Parts: sequence; C-alpha cells; structure tokens
Amino acid sequence: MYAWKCWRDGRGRVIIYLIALPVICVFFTYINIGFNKNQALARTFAPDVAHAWANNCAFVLGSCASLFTLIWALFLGASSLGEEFKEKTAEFLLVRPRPRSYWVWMGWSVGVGEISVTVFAAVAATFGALACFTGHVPSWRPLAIALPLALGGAVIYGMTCFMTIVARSGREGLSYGLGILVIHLVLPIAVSYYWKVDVPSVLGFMIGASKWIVGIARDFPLGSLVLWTAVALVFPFASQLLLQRADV
Amino acid sequence: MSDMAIWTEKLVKTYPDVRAVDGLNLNVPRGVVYGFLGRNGAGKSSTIRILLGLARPTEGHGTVLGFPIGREQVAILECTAYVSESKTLYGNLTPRELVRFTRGFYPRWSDQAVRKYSQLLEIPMDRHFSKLSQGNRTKVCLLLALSQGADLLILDEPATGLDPVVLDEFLRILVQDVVSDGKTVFISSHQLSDVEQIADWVGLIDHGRLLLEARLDDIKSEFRWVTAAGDDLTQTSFPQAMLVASEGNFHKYLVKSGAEAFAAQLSRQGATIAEISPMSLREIFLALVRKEDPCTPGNVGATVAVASLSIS
Repeated sequence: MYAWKCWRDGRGRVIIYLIALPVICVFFTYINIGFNKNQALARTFAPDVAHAWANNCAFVLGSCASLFTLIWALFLGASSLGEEFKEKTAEFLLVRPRPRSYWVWMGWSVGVGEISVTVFAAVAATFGALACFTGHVPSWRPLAIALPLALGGAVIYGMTCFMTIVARSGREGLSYGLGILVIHLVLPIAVSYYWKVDVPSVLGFMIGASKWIVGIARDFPLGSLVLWTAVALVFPFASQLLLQRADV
Repeated sequence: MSDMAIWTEKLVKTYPDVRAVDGLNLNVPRGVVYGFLGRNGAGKSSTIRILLGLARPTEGHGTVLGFPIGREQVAILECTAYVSESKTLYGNLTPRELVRFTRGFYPRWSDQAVRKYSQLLEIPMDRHFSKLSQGNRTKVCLLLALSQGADLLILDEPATGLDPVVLDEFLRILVQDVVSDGKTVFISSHQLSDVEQIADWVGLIDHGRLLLEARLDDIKSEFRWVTAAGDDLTQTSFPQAMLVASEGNFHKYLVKSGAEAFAAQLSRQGATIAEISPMSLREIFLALVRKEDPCTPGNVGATVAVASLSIS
C-alpha cells in the first residue's frame, strides 16, 4: 500500500517527465543529426551510419539525458520519506505495523522504478528517432544505456532521500542535495583541471558507460560500476539507520 | 500473556531542555477504559510516543500487550490502534483512499466497521482530507482506529473538534463496541468530563510523574474533602492527607481514604470538623496538579500526596 501511496503522490511529476525526457532526447537527436549532416568534420568522425548512431547515442543519452536524469532524480527524491516529517504525517505512517526499514526501501524502490521507466522511455525514444531519421538499426545494444542512466539516477535519488530525512523536510533536503550535486559535478572537473587527478563522478560514469555500450570507448568502467552501485545502496542503508534511531 | 495491557517501570524520557517523562510506572489492566489525565505538557503524549515506538525511552522499560517496548515494536503496532493528538493524515487523499491505504497493513481490518462507523459518524468519504473540518478529520482518524480490529486503542485527545452529538456517539461506541469486546482503551486527555463518563481507571500525570493511578469508582468512593477549623494545624503533617488550602483557621484537606478516621484525628488535636464532602474527578485533578511543582521541598503537602495516593 505504501508503494501505491508513493506512486500516487508523485504520479503527476512522473507522467510529465515520462513525456518530457523522451521529447527532449528526440529533439536533441534531431538537432544532432541535422548538424552532423552538414559537417565535414562530423563525417570524419562518423564515416558511416553506425558511427553516426554511436555518436548520437553518446551525446544525446550519455550527456544530455544523463544530466536531465540527475536533475529529475534530485527533484523526485525531495518528495520522499523525509517530507513526511515536514507534513507531520510521519507519526501516522510510522505507527503502521512495519519495520522502519520497510518505509525506506519501499519508497526507494518505487522512486528508482520510476526513474528507470522514465530513462528507458527516453532511450527507446532516442533509439526510435535515430532509426526513423537514418532508416538504419545497427543493433539493439544502445538500449542498454538505460542501465547506467538509471544507476546514476538511483545514486542521486538515494542521496536526496537521505538528505530529506536528515533535514526532515523535502525542500531543505532538496537544497542540500542540490548543493552536494553541484559540488560533486564541479569538483572532479576542477581537481582534474588543476591537479590532473581523476575524481570519480557519477556523471562521468554515466557518460563513460554509455560510450562503452555504443562502442566508442574501449574499456568498460567496471570499477566505476561497482563504486556507484555501492554508493546507490549506501544511501538507503544510511537512511534506514537514521530513521531507526529517529524520534518522531 | 500479560494481564496488563500497558506496563511501564521507571520510564524516563529526556529532551535537551526538558525531562518529559520522569520515572513513570504505569499499570493499565486489560479490557478497561483508562483515562490518562494531565495538563498540557505533563508528559502524556511523550509517554504515548514511547509506548508506540515513535520515541525511544532514555531509561526504564515496559510492555504493551505483553510485548516489550522497543524490541517487538511491529508486534505492538499490529495489535494497537492510535489516534494522534495532531490528527494529521495525508491531505491529498480522501477518507476512502485513506481506508484503502490503511487496510493493507492490518490482517484483522474490518470493512464492515468502516461502513458502520462512516455512516454513524457521518464522514464525507470522498472529500480530500485537507478540505475537511477539524471535527471531520478527527472522525476519520477515529474511523481508521476503530476498523483495525486492534486489541488496544490509544487515543491522544480524541475529542478534538467533535460536536457534542458526535462526541456522545463516539463515547458510546467505545463502551459498547470496543470495551465490551474485551479490548482496552487508553485515552489521554485533559477533558475530564469526557473521561469521567466512560473511564474505569484513571492515571494522573504531571511533570512526567504519575501522581495517581486508581479505579475511578475507588476514587469517587474514597477521596474526600475534609474542612477543619483549628489553630496550629499547619504545623502538623498528616501522611494520609494533603493540605490543599488554608484561610485563617480554616484548613481544607484532600484525603485519599479513611476520611472519618482522619477527621477524628484532627478532632483529637482540638480542631473542629466543618465538613466532610465527596470530590469530583475535576476537583481531585485540580488539587493534585495546581501546585506549581508537586515535589519541591517547600511543597510538603503535595509531596506527601504524591507518595501516599498512588494505588497499586
């Protein structure tokens, strides 16, 4: 029933994003294809339609959709369990006969499910648009880009959920989460620029994994996959521990 | 199975700025209506939060329906229905949707009870909770609690916003449908008249301490005002009585039991007994909690009362 309630609370936003993200991806695909058609340089990098596919997937999904997914996950997480404290409904919820871990993991599962569905829809729309614009389907492999995108979304969603529980407010949790996300995105770039040291970044993982899936990158970012899977699971665990010790 | 619905021993809950519950020993028998009385901020809600696992006790321990607090919280919540003081539920859901949401958590949920009580309490089932009046919100909370099939109902200020007709109906439901079914009702309130109508037992809390715990019938039959006139009575302490007021030579005592013997004792000391009269629950409540701090060293009478009036 809690899953139903989570879905009911966020369904408006989910449906809007379920439409918006694929539309954004199709739009960027159209722009990118049109742009590449007229560029000699683009022909150098994408001498055939398979390369054009790979470049488009890496740009539209690996970069644009990844960034939008992170922002979407951030906002979705703001309306999660911690908001119950702000709305003063936590008292009602937490006297239902379930362990507190149930509320954390059920809410997290619904949120990650919604992100995954949205991401898959965006990838499928991009895939369909590319097939439509080029009249060519090299392989179904690019559909797998949905996995790193969903994983990245799960990391940010879990982090925001955790922050809403820490702050006991959706809005404050969103503010903290946004601050952490901005620092997390900017810091690796700055550190890499000034000190030439690679700092793991969830966006970097999403882009890297996308490039490997479409065949642009040679090495699969296994280390990053393990790291970000662990991080994605650490946040709900931390939320669980926090909630179990919280006085309502 | 424990014969106590709620039992606590030396329960303490401290917050950074206040000691909300201070060594509370509660004994709530099964199958009774227990009125948990106290002023605002006396520690009633804090106690309830501990019982339901919403807050962790700083010290002490206890059981609810035989299950230890904090260790078997899910088992406690399966058998316990709770109406909170705030009566805040999901504003974007209608009562019908709230029923749908709540139903899934309770194997003993009764749709029949939902139909019965929603009609009886005249609840608008298809209007968003946020759009309901305070009274209707209270009714929805009561509906959800009554339909769970719980063995124990914990009601924190359940009468908030209810008009006299609905309140009367609700109290009748508690007595006829709930307690007659062998279930226990634990009502926290400062509305003494409502509690007095239906309570079998009364617990009186102030500053986080239990001042009195007894059967309501015993209280009514044994507690007495003794008014006496005499010199130097204030110099003598009487362990069985509490000096409530003095004006000139007239002194008013609250006596838990043995009012006649106490009056005889006063007479032997040269006092004249002006009146021995019964007390209402309201009078007992006011007498016990009106002291600013019942346990300060200068407040000897109240301290004695605290020590001597508890009925185990």
